[in-house]
Amino acid sequence: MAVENLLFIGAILSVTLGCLALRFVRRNEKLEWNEKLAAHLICLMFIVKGLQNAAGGYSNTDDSQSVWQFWKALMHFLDFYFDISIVMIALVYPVPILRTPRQLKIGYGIMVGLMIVRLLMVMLGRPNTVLELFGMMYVVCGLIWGSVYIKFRMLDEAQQNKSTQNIAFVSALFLTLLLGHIWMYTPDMLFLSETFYFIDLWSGTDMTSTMFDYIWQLGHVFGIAVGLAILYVEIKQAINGQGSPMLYIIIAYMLSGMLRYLMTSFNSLGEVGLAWNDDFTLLGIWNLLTAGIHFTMVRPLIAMYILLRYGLFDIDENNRDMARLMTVMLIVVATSALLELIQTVIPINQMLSAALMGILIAFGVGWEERSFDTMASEPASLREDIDKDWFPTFDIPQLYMDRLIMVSAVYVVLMFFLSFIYWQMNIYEKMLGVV
Amino acid sequence: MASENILDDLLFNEESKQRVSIFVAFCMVLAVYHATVFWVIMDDDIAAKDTMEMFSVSFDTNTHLHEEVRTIDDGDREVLSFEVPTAMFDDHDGFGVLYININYQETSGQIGDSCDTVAADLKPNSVQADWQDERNVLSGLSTDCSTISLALTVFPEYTGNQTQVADMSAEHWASQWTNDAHGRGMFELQIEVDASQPTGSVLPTVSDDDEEVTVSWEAVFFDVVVEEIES
Repeated sequence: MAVENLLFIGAILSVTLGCLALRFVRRNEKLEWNEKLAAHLICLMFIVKGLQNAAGGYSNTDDSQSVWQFWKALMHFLDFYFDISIVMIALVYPVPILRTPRQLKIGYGIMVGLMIVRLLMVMLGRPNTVLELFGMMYVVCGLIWGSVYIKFRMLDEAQQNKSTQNIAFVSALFLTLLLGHIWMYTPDMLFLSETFYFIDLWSGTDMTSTMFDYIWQLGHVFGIAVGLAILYVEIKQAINGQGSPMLYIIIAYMLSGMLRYLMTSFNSLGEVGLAWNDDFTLLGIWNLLTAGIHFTMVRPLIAMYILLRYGLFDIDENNRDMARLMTVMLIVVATSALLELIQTVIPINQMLSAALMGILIAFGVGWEERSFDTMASEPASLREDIDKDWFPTFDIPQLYMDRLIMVSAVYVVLMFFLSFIYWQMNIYEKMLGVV
Repeated sequence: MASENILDDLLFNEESKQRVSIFVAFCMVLAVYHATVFWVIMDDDIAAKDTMEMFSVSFDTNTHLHEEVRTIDDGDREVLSFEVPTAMFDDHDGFGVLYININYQETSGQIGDSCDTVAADLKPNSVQADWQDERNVLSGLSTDCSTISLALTVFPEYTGNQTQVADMSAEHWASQWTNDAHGRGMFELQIEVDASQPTGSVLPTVSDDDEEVTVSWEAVFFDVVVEEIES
């Protein structure tokens, strides 16, 4: 099982969990306007991200004739949705940056406008231009969530309470979801490694201009800056006796990036092939087990944790079983995929890996019993004992949420259609000069 | 009334203002550092990263010929075998293509005897070759004493023509065209003769019972030559 298969696993996880979660979120009538928006956007974002992962998997494997253009186009066009929706979430959650209906209309209007510009360029057969501002979402989200994180994480001890800690932690979790893979590039960026400075959405081709690549990398730079800021703040707070799990998370990401940097920089260690598997190099395996897993498994896991832990689901006796099914599914699929992955790259006997999988799933389900009850029965609050100014109230009718879902569905269908046109008209191959 | 401006709350007091400002300033410092590296220090490397090296791939060919004459009885089906000597594999990078020509004349010597019908069929077997290649001609039939020409692409995608390829290295492309496994083993050609009877074949001394068939095997081997194309 290689990277492509991991993408398919990620696709299944994202789409299934996104759909199930959307069902719960729609039924939750206790949500405030910003929570309602964020919860819907998180679910929709992961459904679309799942489809994008599947398209990515196919585009990596299906190199026959020209159909790769369909999958590649679909992958890029669906990524627009992820881009826009993650910024929309940052604008309202965990604390609303847009505080009035008017601000919300303007803010979301700008995002929709950007989406329309991108689609227009795509429809004109001019994809990958700087007008897409690809990478700017990292800048915007990094600045918003980064500022909120720093504000609430570094409050004086007297001003701190559970809610301020939760707001800081949720912001940091969203940053991890969005930027985790970028944090692994920290040493590459600082020490002028080609691995970072040659980052290109269409590597090996001149499909993107240097300015496009620069803007894309600039987003990564802001991501790295946010990562370093989080690392500093977490270490400082841990020294002050206010440690948080975020410290371990950020260290894990930074360390795995450091190891990758060492592999690529010294003695070509990363290019060493495996004696038992010619298909992989040490670096290939490392990337698979770090960045690959971040994209496909960690992201849905973080999203699910936020939805469950911070009360975006209203779990009662009627839907408890369904919610539990979701978490068990998450554990079983993630565990089996991970073991399959390990078995592919490391020669473990199949019987042994089957036994290991059984043990891990048993532990996982056992852990789920305990942790699920805690999360479902006592969702963590973001509003208790916080100045009400942070959470202005107004109402967004459910009708708007339904429209959001409808528009998202139409967008996906439209992107399939556009991708089909890209394939049939050989637009990418013409741009590459192949035909 | 709550402030409508988030910045009022984010930068509520001096400490908050200072912390958030330091954070934003740090982001800007890294952005300037990156811009300097991207546009000044590594600009040449970055500009050249998508410039792919081009290589021309051509082939020096060498042919191994083998000829065999066989007389085949009317209605019989015979199998002729052919194996390329091992030395050819040792001396060359690959076995590109196998051509087979089947020639015959009407040899009965009878007056009014028209050409016999000869059918040839190169049977796919365990020999490693591109048996599915669209350019292959694996069977043929002749009724007018014309030559039957068969062809089999042995090394996948081999055409013998010079091509241009992009990216990777000369060694990589040379290795792509080096493999001595293709074409090793015994090829089997099945030939069937259907002799036509001359006019007056009702007479006991006038008949056409067999045909002499000449089979030429031409194994084209190649040595790959990869040269970088200067831009």
